[in-house]
Formats: sequence, structure tokens, C-alpha cells
Amino acid sequence: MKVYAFIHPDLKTLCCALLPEAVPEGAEVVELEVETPDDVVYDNGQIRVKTEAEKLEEEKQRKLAELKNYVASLLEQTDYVVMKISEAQALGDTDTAEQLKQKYATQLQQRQAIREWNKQMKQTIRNAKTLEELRSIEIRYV
Amino acid sequence: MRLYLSRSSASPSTSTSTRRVDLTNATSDYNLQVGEEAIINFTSVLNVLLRITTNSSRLYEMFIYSSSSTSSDYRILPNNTTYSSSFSWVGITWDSTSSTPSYIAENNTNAFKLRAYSLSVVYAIIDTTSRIIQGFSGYRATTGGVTRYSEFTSGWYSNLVDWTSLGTLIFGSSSTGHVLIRRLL
Repeated sequence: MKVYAFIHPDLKTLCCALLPEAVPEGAEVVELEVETPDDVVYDNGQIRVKTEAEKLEEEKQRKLAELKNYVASLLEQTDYVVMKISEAQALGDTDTAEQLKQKYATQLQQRQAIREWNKQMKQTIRNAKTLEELRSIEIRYV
Repeated sequence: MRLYLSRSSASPSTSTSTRRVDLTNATSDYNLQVGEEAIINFTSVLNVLLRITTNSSRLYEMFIYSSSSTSSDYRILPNNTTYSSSFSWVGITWDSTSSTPSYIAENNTNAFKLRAYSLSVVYAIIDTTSRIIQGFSGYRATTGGVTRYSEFTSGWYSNLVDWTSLGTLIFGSSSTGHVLIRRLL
């Protein structure tokens, strides 16, 4: 798509208009052909199109952030187990701590499995070579 | 641009009428009236110009029926323009294959964002007074029996630019479908 990139006279930030009439008066415009307006960047006083490497790295960071949120929500469900055990350990009650570890063995194993999956997913995201490959990665623990 | 006028009766003593405007091939913005609705049909496009003029005290509801080839969030560019680091959004999704919802949040986007997947049906309220778009979307996979439900809120936190044109809807990939927009206030 064609975009009309400019630095907004009031906002002093980068804007991309899809229609020439959307450009405010007095703005200096750079016409660019891009896949999406996100591909435009203001760098060292110059408006330019992001490189493929920059786009890939940006998408990786976005995916990694999504993964982090998702894993946190998975672990959150059994955080109470860890807290109970930690509390017993902090009080020096090793017998109770051991009993709790046995009682919640399944939950502790699940947490371990989630962490392993998280590690693998991070690696898969970091290893992606193209945007298509990256976008096809679905963050879902089954 | 085509205009339609339809009438439906709830009972013999009451009736409502809806004026529908077809903005599919509109070349300039149309000033949608309260109670009036616009339809925009599109085929194999990445973005749709909504072609509706607006101001800072309006409320619209919007339905998006679209078939995208890949799952990606939709975006709405007010004034048909992106504004760097001027928007934030949060979205949460429930999935029939998992008991755990997933969420996404971003603080410095350059447009409104709407949580959606391929083959989604999206409903959103556009509030130009508070400069917020919020809504929900449903998704049904063509195979595998997976359904998803998402809720989202996206805000334009800069007030330095007037919202004069409802804007452009951008899909993550080529899409076919239609958009319905009704002005409530």
C-alpha cells in the first residue's frame, strides 16, 4: 500500500496517512510503498522503511512478550502450591514442606512441564528466520 | 453510494425504520445520521476505508464479518492515519481447547487494535468522546471444532488531534466480507 509519511507539526511524532488529503497542512511528506504503515520508521531524523531484519526482530519481541504473559497466566493457577511449600520452609517446618511436596506432586510436575514448554517455545521464536514462519507459531499449551 | 430505506414492524402500533447507506465505492466521507447505518462490502483487500465523517461526540456500533487467510488483529486508523505511540490496548481470549485465557497488552501502538482471528465476527463500540473502541469477537475454526472468544479495549490517549474521519480498517491479510456501522449518538 502507498502511505504518506510525515512528522506531525503538533505531535512531533511520525504519522502515516493512507490518503493525501489526511496530511496536515505544512507537513513535509515522504511517499512510500509498504506492506503496512508499521513498516515505516523515523530514524536519525530520516523517515524510512524498516529492514526485513528489523521487522523480524520486532515481531520476535512481540511474540516473546505474548508468550511471557501466557506462561504467567498458566503458572498463576498453581502459585498457591509454591507459596504453601515456601511458607513451610520459611518457618523451618521441613516435615510439612515435604508432605506438601508429595500432596501437590502433580501440580509441581505440571509447572515443570510448562517451564520446559516455555523454554522450547522461546527457542522456536528466536530461531524463526522469516516473518511468515514467526506468524505461524501459535502460542498455546495443550 | 446507494441509499436504502427498510421498515420493520414490532407490533401493529409501533414501527421503526432504518436508513441504510452503501458506502462500498464512496470516494468522500459521508456524514452518517443518528439511527442511520452504513454497509461496506469488500473483496480480497488488506484495508477498508470507512468513509464516515465524525467529530468528538459520537457513538457508533460496528459489525465486521470477514474471512482473513491468517489470524491477525485488526486495526482502525482514525483520520486514515497512524500516530506513533498514541494508543494502547488490551485483549483477552478464551479458547475451547484450553481452560486458561491468554491476554495481550500494548502501550504504544500507532492505531486502535481489535482482537480478532481469521474468520472472526467482530462487534465493537466506537466512542469518539472518550476515544475508545471496545468490543468482542468470536471465532470458529473450519476444522478441529475450535472456538474462541475475545474481548478488547483500545484507547487513543493523545487529545492533540481532532477525530474528523472514522478512518480505515486494516486486516492482517487479504480479506473478504462486509462492515456494518450504525450511528447511535
